[in-house]
Amino acid sequence: MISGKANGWRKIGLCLALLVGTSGCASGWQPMPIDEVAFLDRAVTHEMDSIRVTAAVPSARESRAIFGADTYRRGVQPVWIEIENSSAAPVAFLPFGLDAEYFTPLESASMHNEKSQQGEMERYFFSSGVNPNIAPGQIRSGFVFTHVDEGTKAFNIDLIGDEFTWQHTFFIQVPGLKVDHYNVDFDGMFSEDEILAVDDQELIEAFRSMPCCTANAKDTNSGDPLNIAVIGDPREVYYAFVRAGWDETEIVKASSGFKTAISFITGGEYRYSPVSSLYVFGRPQDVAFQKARDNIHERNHLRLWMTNYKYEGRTVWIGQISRDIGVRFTPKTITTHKVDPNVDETREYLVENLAYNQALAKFAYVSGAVPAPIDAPRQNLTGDGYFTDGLRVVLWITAEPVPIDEIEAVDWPDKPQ
Amino acid sequence: MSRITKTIAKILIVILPACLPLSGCGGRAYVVEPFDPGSFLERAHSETQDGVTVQTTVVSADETELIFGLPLYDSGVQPVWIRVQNNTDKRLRYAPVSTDRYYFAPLEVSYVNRSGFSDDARDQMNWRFHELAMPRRIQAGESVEGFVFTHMQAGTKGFNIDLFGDDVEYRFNFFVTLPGFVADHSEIDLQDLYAEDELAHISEKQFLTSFANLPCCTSDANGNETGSPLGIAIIGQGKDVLHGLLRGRWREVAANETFAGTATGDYYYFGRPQDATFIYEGRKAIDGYYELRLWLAPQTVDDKPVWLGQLRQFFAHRWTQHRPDPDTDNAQSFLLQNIWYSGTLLKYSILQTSHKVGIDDQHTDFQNGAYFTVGRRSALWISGDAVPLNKVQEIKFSGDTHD
Repeated sequence: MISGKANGWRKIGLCLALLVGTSGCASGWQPMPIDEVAFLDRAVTHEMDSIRVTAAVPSARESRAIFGADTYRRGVQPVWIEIENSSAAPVAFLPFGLDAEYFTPLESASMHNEKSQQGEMERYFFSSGVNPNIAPGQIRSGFVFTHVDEGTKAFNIDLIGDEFTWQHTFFIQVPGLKVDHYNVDFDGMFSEDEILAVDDQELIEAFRSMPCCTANAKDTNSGDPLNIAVIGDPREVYYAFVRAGWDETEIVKASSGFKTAISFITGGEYRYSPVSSLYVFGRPQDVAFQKARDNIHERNHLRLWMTNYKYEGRTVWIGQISRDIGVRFTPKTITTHKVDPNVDETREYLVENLAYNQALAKFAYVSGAVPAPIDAPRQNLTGDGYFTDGLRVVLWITAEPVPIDEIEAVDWPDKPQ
Repeated sequence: MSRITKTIAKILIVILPACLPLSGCGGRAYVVEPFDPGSFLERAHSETQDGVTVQTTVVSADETELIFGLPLYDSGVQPVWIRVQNNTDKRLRYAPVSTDRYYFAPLEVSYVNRSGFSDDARDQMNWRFHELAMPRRIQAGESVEGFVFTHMQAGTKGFNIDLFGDDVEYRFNFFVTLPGFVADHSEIDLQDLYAEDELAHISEKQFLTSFANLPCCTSDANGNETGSPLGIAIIGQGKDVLHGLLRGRWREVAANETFAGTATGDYYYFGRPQDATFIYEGRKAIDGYYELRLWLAPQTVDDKPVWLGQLRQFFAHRWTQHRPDPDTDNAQSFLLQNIWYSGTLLKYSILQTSHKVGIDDQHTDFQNGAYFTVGRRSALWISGDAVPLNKVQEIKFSGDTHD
C-alpha cells in the first residue's frame, strides 16, 4: 500500500486486535472429527481422465469445530480435498495452484495460543494436512491451509504426473456472508416479451442510447459515468469476476456496517464491504464487485445492471467502474472515498485484469458516456470530479479460459485515441 | 457557554489544526524541474523485438524525489521509466499490469501525497503525475515514454513490459538493479572461487548420487555444531538462477543488510558462510518469510554450476519473534512449486537420504532452530527460458545412498 496517515490507525487497530487475540482463554483444546461436522455436505466433485477430486470449504464456525481454534480470525481458511487416482500412474497435487501463499500446517497451528497443548495441537494440524503424492488406485484426503475468502471461494486444483496435468477451477460458496446478488432474481428480471435480441449494429445503437451515468434514487442528479458493458450470462459473469480476483459485496446489515466502520478507522482490509446504491433504469445495481488492494480506502468498485438486451443469446449488462484512492471530507457525510478522477485509467485496468485472468474473449469500445476533458471535469454524486473520453468498453466474458494472445479486439466505429 | 458548546469548542480546537494541513488552505508550493530523462538514459536497459524497441530503468529514491518533488520511496512507490519505439505498422497497447499487477494509478500517488500542499500546488502535482505517466497506446511509427508506478522492490527488480496489437504480442522481460545496491553475493568472486582442477565435471546421474550422499547439514563456523538440513540443489547458470528466483518473487539480501534472518548469523558449508542469501516475503496475512542460503559447489553438471542450499521457513510467533517451521520438507515443497509456477523449472528430482528425523524426535540446530524431515532432498534445474507448467520433467532417481 501507499503509506499514509491511515497507516498509524492501522497499527493501533492491529495492536488492539493482537491484544484481544492474545488475551487467551484457557478452556482446553477440543477438536472435533470431521465426520461430525456437516461441511462435507457442500462438497463439490470434478472427475476426468480417471482422476476424481472432491473439495469442500468449512465455514468459520465449522473450522473452529474441526480444529478447536478460530482459524478464520487468524486469516487461515482450511480447504478439504480428496483425490482419487484411478489411473495407472502416480500423480502429485500442487497446493501452490490453490493458494500461492498457503500456510503450512505447523504455521497455522502456531498462531493459536494453547500453551499446555501446543505440541498436541501442532501434531493434529500436521496430520490433517493432505499428502500430495497419490499412487495409482489410491485415495488421499486432507486439508490445505489457505487465506480466507468469504462468499464464493474460487481456486484451482492442479495435479501433475508423468507428461500429464489435471487442472480444474472450483467455485465453492462459503456460508456466513450475505451477498447482495444472492437475492436478485436474474431469470425473472424481464418477461419474454421485454427481451430484445440484437445484432451488432443494434447493440452499438443500444449502448449509445443508454443513460450516460448513474443517478441518485430520485433520479434528480447524475453520478459516475456508465463506462463498462459486459456480455455474458449471470453465472459466466459471476465466475469470471471471481476468477479474476474480484470479491462479492455484502448487503448492508448491522455486522457488515460494524466491519466497514472498523476497517475505515483502522485502514484494515474488509474485502466485502457494502457499497452505496447507485441507480440506473430506476433501480440500484443488481450486483457489485470490489477488488481491495491493501485497505478499505484503496480498492476498485464495479457495479452492473442487467439490461433487457440479448446478444447472440447472452445477457447484456451496463456498468460503472471506479477506483478509490483515499478518503476525503464532505459536508454531507463527513467522510467519503475519493475516486480517481481518471476513470478511463480504471476502465482500462479492468480490460487487462480480465485478460490476464483469461476471462475475456473479445472487447470493443462504444460511445455513450459524456466526454469530459481534464480541464473541464464532470462531477459524480459525492462531488468528486472526473474526466473521460466518454467511451464504454464492452467486454465479452468467457467461462472457458482464453489465452491473452487469442483475445479479439472487435473493430467497432468508436475507438479510444 | 453551555457544557455542550464548550465541549464542541474543545473538539474544534483539537480537530481544526489537525485538519488544516489536509484542507489545502495555504500550504507549500510544488516545485519541480522540467523532466529530462537524460540523467538516467545511459543506464537504461534496451531490447528490440521485430521492430519494437523498449528502453527502461528503475529510478532511484533521489532521482524520484527530483522528478516528482516527493519522497515516493518512503511510501513504498517505485517509479519505472519506460520508452517504447513502435516501428511496426500496427498500433500497440501497453499493459501496466504486466509490470506490476497492483500498480498505483498516477493520480492515486499524487492524491496520497497531497498533504501540506496548497490547492494550486495540488493541481500542479496532479498534472505532473498525469503528464509523466506511461501512455497505454503507441501508434504505428510512434515513440512514447513515461512512468508506471510500482511497488517498491529493493535490490534487483524483475518485471515485464507486455505490448499487444492486432494479432501480435511482444513480451519483454527486464532485470534492473537499483543504483547503489550491492547484493551479498556480489562481494564474492564466484567466477574464481574454484580453480579448474578443483571442479568436478559430472553427469546427471553422478551428481544425483553425490547429492544424495552429502553430509546432512550445514554447521557453525568451526564445524563443531550442526546446522539445518542441506535439502536443496539448484543447477543452472548464475544469471538464470538469479532471474528464476527473482521471477518467483524472491529478493536478494544486501551485503550490509541486517535482516531478521541474517541477524541470527551465518551458517557454514564447505568451510565458509553462504555465498548468497535470498528472502521470500510475499506473504500477506502474517509476517512470515522463507530464507534460502546458497553455496556454489565444486561441481558442474552438463557444464552448469551446482548451488547447494539450506531452506527454512520462519513464521511470526509471539509478537516479535520469528520461529522456524520445523517441517523442512514443507519448505522444500514450497520452493519447488514456486519455481515451477514461475515458469523457469526445467526438471527436478526428489531424493531420499538416510537423514530422517521424526516429528516426535526433532533435532535442534546450533541456532536453536528445531526441525524434522523424512530425509528428502530436492534437485532443481533452472532454465533461462520460460517452461510451461506441463513440460517440467521429473528425473526418477533410484541410486544408492550411503547409510
